[in-house]
Amino acid sequence: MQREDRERELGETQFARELRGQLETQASSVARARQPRRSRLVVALVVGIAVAIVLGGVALAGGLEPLRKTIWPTNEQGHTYGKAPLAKSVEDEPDLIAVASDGKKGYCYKTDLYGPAPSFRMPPGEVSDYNAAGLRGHAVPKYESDGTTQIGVFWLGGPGSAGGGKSGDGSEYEDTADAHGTIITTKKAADGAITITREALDGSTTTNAAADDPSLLRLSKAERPVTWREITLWFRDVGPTHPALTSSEPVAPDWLVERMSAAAREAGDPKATARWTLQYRRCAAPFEGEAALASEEVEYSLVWIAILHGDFTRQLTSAGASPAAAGSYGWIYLLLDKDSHEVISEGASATPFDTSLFRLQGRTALGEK
Amino acid sequence: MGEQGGRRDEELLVASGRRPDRFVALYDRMLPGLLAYFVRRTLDAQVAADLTAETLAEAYASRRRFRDRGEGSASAWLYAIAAHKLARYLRRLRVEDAARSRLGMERIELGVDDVERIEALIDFEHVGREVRDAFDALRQDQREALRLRVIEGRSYREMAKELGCSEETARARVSRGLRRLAAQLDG
Repeated sequence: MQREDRERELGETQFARELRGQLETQASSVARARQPRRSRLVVALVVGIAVAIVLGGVALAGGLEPLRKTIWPTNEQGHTYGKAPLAKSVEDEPDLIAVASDGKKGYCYKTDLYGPAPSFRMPPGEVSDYNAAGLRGHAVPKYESDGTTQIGVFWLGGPGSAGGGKSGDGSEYEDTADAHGTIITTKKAADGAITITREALDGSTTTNAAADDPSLLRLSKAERPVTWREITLWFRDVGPTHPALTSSEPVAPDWLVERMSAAAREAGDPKATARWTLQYRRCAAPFEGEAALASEEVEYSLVWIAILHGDFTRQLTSAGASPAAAGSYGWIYLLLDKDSHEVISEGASATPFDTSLFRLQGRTALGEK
Repeated sequence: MGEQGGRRDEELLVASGRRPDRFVALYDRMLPGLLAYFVRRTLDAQVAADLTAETLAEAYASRRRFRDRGEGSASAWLYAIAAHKLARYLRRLRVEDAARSRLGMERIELGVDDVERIEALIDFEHVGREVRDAFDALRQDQREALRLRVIEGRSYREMAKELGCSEETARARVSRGLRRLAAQLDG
């Protein structure tokens, strides 16, 4: 059979019929429900002209071959900025990429958004920890288009983000994180069985069949997702803010409370409050300093990060801070090895701590036990 | 071509702004070529079907933005969307479903017959020779990543464990390897 004939036959596949049916449904529902409004048409015209200008270039460049480069505006630093979807390729994307978060538009450096991803060979046991930290998320600075005026942060990962795929055994899975750092994996086995696994920050794991999952059972029958896809989307898009999500805020493990309590006592306030998380060490760079990140292995190692707030005036003033600042803003940090739990770095500061950089758990009141 | 037979693609696409049923007529004309475009670039029937559906959903949702710039402009417009979807797929190795989700369109799983019909478009012998040459020219880490992902069908989670890297890095190696392969095969 000729290639053209084979191609024509694609229109007779079941897929083609089903997709056609879906589009027909769209068309008929729109025809019934919508009368175009003048204002909509004006907006569509303006947007259409803008798109046509861009795509006109594509057509002029040879029909199907898109242009290789986009002409981006440039700021005073010489950095290009704009919206990534307008780029013709990954390489073509501007230095500062437009983002919107907290209802405010801004720009993030491409280098902050995309990497650098670690290139070293990670021990197999650390890979899932690394991916879990990515799902729990961390913030990158968000700027005006000048690339220097910071106007907030943009979250990478965090609740609502997901990763997944298909395993060699035919099962499909998707991972997402909730606001408390718990990784939720929805999995559909080859035989159709759906399970939901939760891995808490301390590594404890629970697995339930979808029919027995406590979060889903709390939903009314009408709103309860049924298929794997529906369940996956629910955990990703609805779950993080839904009161039925039972993943409660984790309690700091005893060993961590002990370490944090000891540090608080030494710094002068045994009743300090503590917040904590498990993240890449590079996330601590804003207060630990870039110099601590001697290698990629160190940069991407997982560490427990604890931030303690309290009256650390004595320690901070002895380190040179003014008594007023030390009393108002005193905080200390601890970085602890993920497995050995040994303190690998600690420090103190009398300047306010930007808590927006992390999704910290707690607040754990020390000295109450 | 039915009752729309005498109309140009561009006329159908413009008319579909007010009469969405015209888009269905355009769909009949465009589907085979679009599906073939994707299957020859991804060599995966299900991925090609997903990309086709997502492209058409995006085109349907954006149809009022199209402006008739003459013969061939409807096709260029549609394939620009297709090329963008393909680029994003090659970068992330995941077909997005944003346009279909917005329209409430469900993913269509291919049956065995459809897979065979679609894969019949691929001249595997010819592709095989070219792929082998292009594959040999790849970097070692990309070759390894493609072997695990494409030949052995491993998940990114499994690949990351085997290669001792993150899932992101495994994805990036496969993506770069596929892009390089695609560039060599296109060239």
